[in-house]
Amino acid sequence: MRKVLFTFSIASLMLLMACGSDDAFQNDLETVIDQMNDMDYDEAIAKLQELEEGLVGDQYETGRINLVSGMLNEAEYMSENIAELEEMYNSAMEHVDEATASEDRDIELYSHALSSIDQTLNRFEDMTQLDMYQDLEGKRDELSEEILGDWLPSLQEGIESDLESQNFAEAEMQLNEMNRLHQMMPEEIREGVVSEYDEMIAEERERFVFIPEIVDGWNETVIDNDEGSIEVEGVRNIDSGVEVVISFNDYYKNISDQLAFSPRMILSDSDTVSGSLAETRLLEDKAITKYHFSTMGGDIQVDDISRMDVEAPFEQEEAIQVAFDGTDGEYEIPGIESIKELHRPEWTLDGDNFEVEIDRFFVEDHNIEITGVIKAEEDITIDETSRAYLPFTKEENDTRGFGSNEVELYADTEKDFEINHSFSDPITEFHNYIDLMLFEHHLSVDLTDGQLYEVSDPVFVADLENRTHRTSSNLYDEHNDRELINQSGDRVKEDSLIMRASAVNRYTLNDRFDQFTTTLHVHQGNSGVDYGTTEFEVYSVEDDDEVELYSTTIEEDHDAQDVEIDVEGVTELKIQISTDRGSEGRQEIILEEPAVE
Amino acid sequence: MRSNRLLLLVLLSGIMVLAACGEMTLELEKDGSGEVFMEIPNNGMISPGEIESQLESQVEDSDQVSGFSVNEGSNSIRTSFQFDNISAIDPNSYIIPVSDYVVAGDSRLDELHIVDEEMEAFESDSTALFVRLPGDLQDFETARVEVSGEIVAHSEELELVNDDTVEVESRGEVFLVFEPSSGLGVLGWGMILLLPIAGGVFFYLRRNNMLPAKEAKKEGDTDA
Repeated sequence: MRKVLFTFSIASLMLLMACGSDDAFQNDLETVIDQMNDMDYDEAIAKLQELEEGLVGDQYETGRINLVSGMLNEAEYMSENIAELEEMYNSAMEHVDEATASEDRDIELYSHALSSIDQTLNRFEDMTQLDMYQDLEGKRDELSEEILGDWLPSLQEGIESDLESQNFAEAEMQLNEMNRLHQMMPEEIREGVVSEYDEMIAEERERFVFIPEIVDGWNETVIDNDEGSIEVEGVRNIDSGVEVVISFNDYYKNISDQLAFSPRMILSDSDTVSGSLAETRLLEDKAITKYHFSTMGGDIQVDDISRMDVEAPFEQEEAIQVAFDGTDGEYEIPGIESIKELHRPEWTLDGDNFEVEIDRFFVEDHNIEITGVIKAEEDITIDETSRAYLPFTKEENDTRGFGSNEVELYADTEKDFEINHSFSDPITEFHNYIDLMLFEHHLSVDLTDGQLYEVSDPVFVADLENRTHRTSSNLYDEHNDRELINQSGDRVKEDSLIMRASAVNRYTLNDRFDQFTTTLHVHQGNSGVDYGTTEFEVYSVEDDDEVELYSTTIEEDHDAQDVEIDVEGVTELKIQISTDRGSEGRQEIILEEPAVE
Repeated sequence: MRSNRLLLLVLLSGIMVLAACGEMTLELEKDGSGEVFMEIPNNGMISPGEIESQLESQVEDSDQVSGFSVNEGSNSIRTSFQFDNISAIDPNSYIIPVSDYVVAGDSRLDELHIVDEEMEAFESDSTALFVRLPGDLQDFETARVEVSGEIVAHSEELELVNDDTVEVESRGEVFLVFEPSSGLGVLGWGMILLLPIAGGVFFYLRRNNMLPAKEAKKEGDTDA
């Protein structure tokens, strides 16, 4: 009986030992990990050495020795480097606290915190089981979660919202921040995310010739009267110095590009810097200009400004002083959208013995391309010169080259053509239509849909195909650097011109208009008894034949005189003046709103 | 002896290179033992005798590799041998309970692809085994590993062919974890060992308790 009980006890013990060998090894591992977390590295090393020796003959000898020797290396490494690692750990944790403590997320602080964590984690090598390692990993996860779960989505929403409100500057700033986040966490925030929003901004920008911009407010009036005003609107620092934004409103919009404004910045150290016109944005009722002020060193800033002087000789002899008392609020420089449209208009021009079909009308920024086919019904010679005129920016372009512009076409043949017109000013949303002369036909085309455009309002004669001599148009007499002021001392209306000496103006009407109207004035500066008289004559010209339509003598005591002339069937309108000199000089004649309709 | 073991799979892959192509299958048991099968084309590049002599010279001192067999067919040469422990064919290979790594927080587990998508991580009471496979497997044109159980996780270099088989796809450290097929195990065998002993003890005790009662009854009969 005793033998049986002995055998039973031994068998039970062996069974328990077999079950418990894994648990014993793992309990030892846990002890070692606790010791390492408590930084009792010498004890951990001793325990691991003991474990390693005990593994000879173990069922998992090779694997377990591999595990234990790895931990032994870690413990020895930690024992040698614990002081430095602890310092790095504390420093990383401080960076994390600093980053998360600030209410406004500072990307620099987050970048420091993350790189500090990563560097420290790298120093821990494979010792991922240690509390310090896991603390750091936990902090990294928290920062990542905040960046990926909150920061990045808020930037994405912000960019989308900025683009809706066309705040490109803010959208760009948010994109830059997103790019920084990508550089901080290239694995988590892929480059594709950044480029998606980059393209989104670029696509939205494409719509604009000038994007809306926000600058600091500088609210000072240079000139303000019943006709309009000139306002200093804003200022900001730019890479090369300082940018000042000035608006020319109503009447002054039309002379903004003719004024010798010559702004000069007076700095707080009494140095002066001259400004140069950098950009003009032409809107419906105003022109907004940017002037740049920079020195060779490029080191002037808004804070250096004491005041700005601008020249306005038509207003006062001395420069107008514009005070600067620091910036106030913001000013949004309005954006201007371009027209980028490909039209398939399919309209035709019928000539006497030919037909022109236009099948493509492409408008893009500064250029217009027109393609189509010309079909001849008989043998013909046709002038293929094309003229394009944009009334809003008063810019003309023609395809006239050297030599003959005529082309021969033969009966029952057709010829493809492509015409390109290029303009220095961009074609914007404010350009409703373009005037064209194509294959001896005059027409106007709607730039937004490519269809023929019916011009219903009177057309300022300067907007017609013309040849002028000794004439200035558009409210400002650049010849004498003065505004157009009539004999009564009043500014004349927009779309006026001044003729001097023996001026001759020729306007191509091509039988398109019925009536010519204008009001005749003498410039105040050249009116009165000492400036003689002027013969004013208007002719209808057809080839070499001239028929007088109107003539009058402008006397020394001239009052405003309305003129109305029937121009039905007129091909070319010729307006000329002949002046008789007085003792002080000759009269200069203003045509106020000379127009055909 | 260690240097011989180190060269065993290198030698096999070298033979395969000589033969231009070939397949290798490693069968692994839960105790770390197993068998290697290799089949190469019989294209005259290397003879069965050369293979046999080279393999035997590599393991002549080893007591953990045995059962060499080289068979020549018309189209192929088949070679096989058994090993007592996977470390015998590559000293860097081993088998270890996955629970050891769980307790130790070993980062090797983080690199594994877990087959069951619903399973997030291994627990400390897991009965699965972690295997580091020989590093030369990727030298073979086709290298398969079959285990006696279900593969539950593996490194990216392996592709799961079926429940118990993976194929080596690319170079790198190759790991797999498998759940051994259910058997009696230590506890089961212990119980089998203990049951007859417990039965004997029970029978012995019961018989001892019954003896005094029988003797008392006999005495009573006499009295009557």
